[in-house]
Amino acid sequence: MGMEVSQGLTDWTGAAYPPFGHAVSPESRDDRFEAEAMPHLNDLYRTALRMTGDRGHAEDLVQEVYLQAWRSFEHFEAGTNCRAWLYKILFHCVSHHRRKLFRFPLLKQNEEFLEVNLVQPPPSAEKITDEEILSALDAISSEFRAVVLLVDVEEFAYKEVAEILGVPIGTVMSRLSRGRGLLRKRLAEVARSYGIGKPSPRNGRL
Amino acid sequence: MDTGANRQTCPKVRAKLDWYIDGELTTEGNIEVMEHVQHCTSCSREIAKSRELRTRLRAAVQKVSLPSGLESRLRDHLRHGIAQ
Repeated sequence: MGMEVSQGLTDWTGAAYPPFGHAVSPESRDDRFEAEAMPHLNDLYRTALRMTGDRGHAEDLVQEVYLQAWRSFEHFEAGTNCRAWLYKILFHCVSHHRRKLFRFPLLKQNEEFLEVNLVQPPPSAEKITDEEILSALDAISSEFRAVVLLVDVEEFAYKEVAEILGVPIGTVMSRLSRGRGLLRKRLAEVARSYGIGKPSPRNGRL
Repeated sequence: MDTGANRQTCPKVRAKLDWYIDGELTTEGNIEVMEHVQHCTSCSREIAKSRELRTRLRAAVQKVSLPSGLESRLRDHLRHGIAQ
């Protein structure tokens, strides 16, 4: 589907990637790739879709991820975290195609730094629909959305997210806090539109 | 039961609630939050709301339908890419 394939991974990963680096025998490569990499296709596609907002781009991205993964799979050590490794490739591809995939990421991020409080209490999700939750998630800027997806949806540890995104763990924590704050703020607005969280006429409490 | 002394520790604990839910606190930090939450309905409610929100978010992302033929097109793409 038109998106060019990046050449190899060694130019951007440094010594830590791929993890360790024992070569596997060619006979077992197909089977290992099938068993270790293929089961994560659906999760990767759904993450790619949330990052791009476009089904065609998401499919292009996962195809690119799997081709890159296949090409460097001989360096992938059995028993290490293949899922995290695939996500690392995915976010490298997202970053590589940033200009094509995101129109105004940086401006939006700066605006959001000004508008969000550090601690935003979670709203009640009782009457909020799945579509409204996705729409609130999609509306936050990509850097924050990525971390929220990786921690809250994919349940990666902070350390794994730092490795996947190639940022310090402190950056993960700060983006997560901002991202969740923005998500909660947007969902609180939706909840208020349903009358949840409005002051009660009787005692005036939230 | 919420006590005055307990409420005083709320802001300190609130700042750690997300890390607690994420399983990212040290054993010491976990114990501090657990002990506080046992006696604080307000923080306990906040934890429940945060967990509910995450469960809803996870479910919303994961229930999105996959395009039909996604896997077979990927396999074609891999076969073509590998052959090159």
